[in-house]
Amino acid sequence: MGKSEVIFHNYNENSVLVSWNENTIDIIPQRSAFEMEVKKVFPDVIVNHGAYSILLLWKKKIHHSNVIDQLKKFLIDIKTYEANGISWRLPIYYELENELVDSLSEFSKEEIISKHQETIFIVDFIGFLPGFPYLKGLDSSLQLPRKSTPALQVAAGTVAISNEYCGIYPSQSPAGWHVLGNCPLPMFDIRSDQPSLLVAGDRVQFYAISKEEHSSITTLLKNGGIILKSFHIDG
Amino acid sequence: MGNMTIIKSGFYCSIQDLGRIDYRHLGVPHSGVMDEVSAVYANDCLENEKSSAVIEIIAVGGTYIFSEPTFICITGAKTTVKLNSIAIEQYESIKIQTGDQLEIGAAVDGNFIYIGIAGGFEVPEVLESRSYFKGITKQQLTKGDTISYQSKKSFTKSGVKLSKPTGSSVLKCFTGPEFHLLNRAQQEQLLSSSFTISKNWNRMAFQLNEKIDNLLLQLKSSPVLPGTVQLTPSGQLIILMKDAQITGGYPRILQLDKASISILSQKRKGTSIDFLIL
Repeated sequence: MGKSEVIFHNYNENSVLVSWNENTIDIIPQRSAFEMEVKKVFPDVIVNHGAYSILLLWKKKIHHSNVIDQLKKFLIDIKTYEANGISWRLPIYYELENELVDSLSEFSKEEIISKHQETIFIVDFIGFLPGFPYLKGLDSSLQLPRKSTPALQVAAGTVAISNEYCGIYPSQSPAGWHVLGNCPLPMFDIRSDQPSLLVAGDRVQFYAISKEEHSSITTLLKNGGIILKSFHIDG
Repeated sequence: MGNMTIIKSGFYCSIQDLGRIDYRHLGVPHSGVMDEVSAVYANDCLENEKSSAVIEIIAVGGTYIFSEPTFICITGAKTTVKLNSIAIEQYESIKIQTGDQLEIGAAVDGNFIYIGIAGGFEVPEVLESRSYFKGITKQQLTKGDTISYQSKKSFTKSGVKLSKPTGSSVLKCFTGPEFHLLNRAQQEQLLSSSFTISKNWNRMAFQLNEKIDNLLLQLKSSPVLPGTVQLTPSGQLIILMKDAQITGGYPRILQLDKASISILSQKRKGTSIDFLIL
């Protein structure tokens, strides 16, 4: 099994940055498997994911070269890179913004929606805002740079795209990404045992719902009529 | 149970502790006190846990009234502190009686003032921390708010000598993951010239005035920490602080050690700093 080049960096007195030097989606399950190995030996390690990288933080100062020797061994020990995250089917009410439709004028709205729905995304990391997932895997024909002037405000649940990522705004926020629609599920809830709906390594496929279905899912989630687990694919 | 009531609020007055360290994988920023050394001094002085919650105030102190006896310690930025109109010292434990009025003036040196209290301020923990962060906790403190504390009538000091924070201008650093992408001249410029703090500083980041020549490309969103020194496309240096996001797209050229983050937090606009690689 081919392994990609991995770089270790002493980030500060109690952390090591591990970066994969290759831009492929296969890195994410490899990184998840590595993280599981690390946690077997260092259960208290704190992780901070980024694109193709993971910053491992210890609560005390570390001896970097000893730790890196161990981390290298974990990488060798990884036998399989099978998906270990949750697979989600997330509802989306598509409401493409005009700027997006204009920028992708070679496609009809229906074509954009079907390309987005066909993709199985994988969560690279949670960043920008608590619970904001960076979903990797966006069809290359839909990739656009960030807006030059961000929207002042989008609603919680806004699904948007930028470069190779699709993201979901967990709360009202200014937004530099291009809006595709809205997902009624709460992306971040501090009252929950698992405050972020998605975590790195999870998989996501979107399915279209109507405006009416969007509001009924919102209501059912609020009154306990449906549980989040019902959006798991194997759940 | 006692209450401290805010009669006149300081600027950006918030509850802070050592921050929310275990939730970075969910995109939750660190938060917590900007000047950990000063805040921990206040807690040590009162023989609290180091992680007890304190009040952090930016630049302008405010007025506070206490409903029950306790002990407090004011640290951080140098300012004038009065208890019932009589001047009191910073960096010492001060006995408080029912109805006492504490008045903290404007900072004359430094940016962040801390009020520590025996046992720590009692607000609910959210994700294992009491630190204020928009969208995570409720409290940003304003006039009329009351904050609870356990009353305490007596307190015998164990007499452990504490050392006060020092005001060095040298920030000790690790090289950042992208430091090696800078050429010799850029590295030289970064390490042998002094930089000054710009007017743009807050709990998220401190920007510096002097620019360095930059030809580096932006990165994919990559992990960052408080103390990460980023180089923007315009050549400006931004030093991330406690409320910064957990990822960033600018090259990370240096990383301050923990003690230097505390030092930097108290540097005022126009103050000079130097980077020193460990």
